[in-house]
Amino acid sequence: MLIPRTRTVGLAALSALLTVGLAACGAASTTASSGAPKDIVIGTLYSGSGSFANSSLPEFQGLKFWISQENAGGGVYVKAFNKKIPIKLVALNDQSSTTTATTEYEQLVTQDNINIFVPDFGSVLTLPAVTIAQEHHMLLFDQTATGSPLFTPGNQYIVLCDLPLSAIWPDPLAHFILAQHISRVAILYGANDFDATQAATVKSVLAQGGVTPVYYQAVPTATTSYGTLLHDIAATNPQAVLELGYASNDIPFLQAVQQGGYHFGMVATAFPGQEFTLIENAVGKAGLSYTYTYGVPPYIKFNNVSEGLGTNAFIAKFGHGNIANVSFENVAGYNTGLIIQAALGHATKFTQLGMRAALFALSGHFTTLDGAFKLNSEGGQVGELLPLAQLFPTATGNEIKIVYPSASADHAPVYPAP
Amino acid sequence: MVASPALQVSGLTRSFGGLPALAGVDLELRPGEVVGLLGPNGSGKTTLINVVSGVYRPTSGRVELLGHDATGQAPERLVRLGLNRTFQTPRPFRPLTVLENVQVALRHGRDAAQSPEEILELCGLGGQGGLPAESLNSSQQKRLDLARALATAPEVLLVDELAAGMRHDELDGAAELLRQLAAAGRALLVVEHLMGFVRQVTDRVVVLNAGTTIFAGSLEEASQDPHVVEVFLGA
Amino acid sequence: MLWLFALIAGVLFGLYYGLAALGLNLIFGVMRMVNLAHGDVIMLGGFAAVLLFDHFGVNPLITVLLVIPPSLLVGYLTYYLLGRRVQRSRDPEMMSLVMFFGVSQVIEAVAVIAFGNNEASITSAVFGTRPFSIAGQGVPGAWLVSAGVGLVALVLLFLYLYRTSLGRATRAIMSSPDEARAVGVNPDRISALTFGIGVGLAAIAGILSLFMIGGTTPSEGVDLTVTAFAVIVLGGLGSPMGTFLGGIVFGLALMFTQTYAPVWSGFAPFAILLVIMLLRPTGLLGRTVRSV
Ligand SMILES: Nc1ncnc2c1ncn2[C@@H]1O[C@H](COP(=O)(O)OP(=O)(O)O)[C@@H](O)[C@H]1O
Ligand SMILES: [Mg+2]
Repeated sequence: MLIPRTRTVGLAALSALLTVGLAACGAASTTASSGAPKDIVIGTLYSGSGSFANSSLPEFQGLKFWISQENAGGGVYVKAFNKKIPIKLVALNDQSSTTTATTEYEQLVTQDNINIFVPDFGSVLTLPAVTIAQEHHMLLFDQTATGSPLFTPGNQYIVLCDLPLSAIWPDPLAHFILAQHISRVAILYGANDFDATQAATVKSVLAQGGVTPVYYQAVPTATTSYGTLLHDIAATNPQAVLELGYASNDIPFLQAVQQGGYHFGMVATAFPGQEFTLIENAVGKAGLSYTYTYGVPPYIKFNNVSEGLGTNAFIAKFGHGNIANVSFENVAGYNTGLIIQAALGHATKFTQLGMRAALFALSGHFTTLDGAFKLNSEGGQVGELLPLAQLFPTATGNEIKIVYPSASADHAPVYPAP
Repeated sequence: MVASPALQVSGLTRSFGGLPALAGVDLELRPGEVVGLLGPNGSGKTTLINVVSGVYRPTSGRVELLGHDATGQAPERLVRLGLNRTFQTPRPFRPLTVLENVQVALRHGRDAAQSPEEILELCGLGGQGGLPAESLNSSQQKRLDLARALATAPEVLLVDELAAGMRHDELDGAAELLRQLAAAGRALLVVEHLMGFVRQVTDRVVVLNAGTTIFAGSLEEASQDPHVVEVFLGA
Repeated sequence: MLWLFALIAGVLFGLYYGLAALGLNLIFGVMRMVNLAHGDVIMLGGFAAVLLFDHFGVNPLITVLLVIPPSLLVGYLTYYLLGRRVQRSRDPEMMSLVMFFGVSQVIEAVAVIAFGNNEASITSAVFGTRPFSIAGQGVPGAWLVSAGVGLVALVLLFLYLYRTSLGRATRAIMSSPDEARAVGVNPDRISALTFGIGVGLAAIAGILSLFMIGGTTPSEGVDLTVTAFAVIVLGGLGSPMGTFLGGIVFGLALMFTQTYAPVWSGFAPFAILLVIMLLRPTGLLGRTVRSV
């Protein structure tokens, strides 16, 4: 059922009244100050099909893995009741559709009596949850939606769990370019919040170093043919070419670089770090060699953690010891669980704002396999930074190595690419 | 020995939305004979051809073609059994050439003894094979329609208002052609309004009114039949 | 000379888009059905090439030949199992939309189960990484291969349609199905064959998609159907030649906007479609579609 926005407030009030009434009868498992709920209900959406499925499903797997781990130990520890409570999962399939997602988010918060509200993967499917969470005073455990417009000063009901705000992703990338004294930079980015914020960040960091891009253009997110664009980029004679898109852009872009026989000193794309196996299978070994990307877990490793499994332990348990079985989205979904665990484990009051307060208290003092957890005042993630990685050819394929900043590097960068 | 009928139609009815366009028509065509099908506009002549040639299924009744039950068969099957028809409003395959129009029919109907060029010649379209069909005038389109039907080597041919739209000086040739086709042993049903043409071409006539047969016999007798006269003049 | 490259790229992509849309138009022309699963067939063609390459090292150009027999078979079966029933229903055009929408959903769902949700492709290196020089512009070999396959398919299709008796019968049905039956053409046979050819052309386009649009993924079917539909409307429903012209207009619009106003490149080809529809509602080479 699609409810027009204007009527939602009234209905929300009504459903709040109903919830109170039910709680008084002792029928609901939601917050009752007198006693602990029978279980903690997590409500989430996943994309079983459609364009987001390849990211959403592995992320959902990670979250389910965390739930099974906790439930195997008798449940998640809830400080407000000082005991472990089993977790119940309510998960609906939005099939990558924002319309379906909107309806199902409404259903989760108004009818399914959930305690913890977790949106689907990525900005597009998270966006409808942001307003719904705010209206219904549910804290949104935003997993991977990192576009700045999602975070506003007036909204207390969102925390970003598993990735930094996209505006700060390319910080190391841009500083690397300056450090290498690269002066001719071409930037091609997708016309969406996620990519546009990254492009703007690179541009402004470069400007601080006195570098103005020789090419700076947005293309529609649905772009799949890059040959002509690359030809025009090559005409500006760049040393570095940055393509900021989604995996569905990176693959055709990297294919087009090979097809056109282009050789640039530096080529950087966003997703080979997050979807390495997928992209290497698609574009071939040579298509990725010496290109750059954002370094993400599990390729950046955090074994010294304050909550949950460290990187190696996670690879051992979830990936049966093989890093190839572990994608970034698996880590992200699992990490969402760890942030929920931290919120429940530290909040003295079992309320939405109580959980938020606990997370803000932990901010900056807390590390998981996804890195250092740190929030800005709007709930945006500013820890969990993404270092710059480069792909190096080996006998069998490519290897992802962190090359910048030097402090966390495990390999020296090779610039220009041979 | 009297030849057995090539086409035998008995008790044929067909209704559109409850209104009968044909209400129990009987008709018989023998090889080598030309029967005229007359009747005022809307009396069901074209519907009869459409039902017999498989464009519409009959509501009831029976069609027998060369000894086979042909009731409600698909048009392409009937063509292979030896029946074809022309259209009151001819619709050639417009983007195809005149020759290609005939070639399609030749290839998919029964084996005609003649080449497509010969058939075009016969129908007065000699030398026009290379033209796109859409460039033909309405009289030529009727000829092409006839040529296409002949290319499937029909033994029973239903001709719907061939002469309408032809110039006066073309009529004799057309009549001659139809007689020639019958002389070769085909059975023809010819729907026509021009009485001179009907007289020239047909051996006998059947008159329809409101979907029923009101007369069967010679044209002479028909013109003296009070019912027929009333239907034609009183309309 | 950015414009010259855009011109060359536009024409080469146009031939690819023409090929990708050709089957849809052929099926529409003969059966008056819009095969909404067209894009999904393109997607399957792409996966066929990826799997054969990954597991057996089959060159995608060989796969172009390999997909033809199974496509004809699938087309035949689909027509006899589904298409014919739709065609005989009261409102074939509407029914075909409903049914092929369902088929499209099923193909996508099965593809997800079979291939996963991931984007798959073959490295562009199979067609070499040295561009060819055309009018002084370095053009990727893969583009030339794709455009070449598109041209060959076009020529073969035209030979079929204009030089064989089945082809003539096909054109006869496209022009007036009732009259074609009246001269003995069996519409089922022609329709089934056309469906097979349409499926085959789509599958071939899917193989080339790997090199023209980077890869294939189970969810891309809908977008491809929309693009193919735009191309055939642009060129004229029922006109195979128009489809290639439509493809080239579409390709040029895309490449020129990518060169001079990249951010509008998703929108420009459809804006051109609208303009042409306003000026010439039957498309560039289209005839009025007879609605009987
Ligand atoms: N497809 C149809 N749908 C509805 N009514 C029809 C159809 N075809 C013919 N009719 C009706 O059947 C009657 C006979 O028409 P027709 O056979 O064309 O007459 P004729 O050829 O003798 O002038 C008319 O009343 C006509 O309106
Ligand atoms: Mg009539």
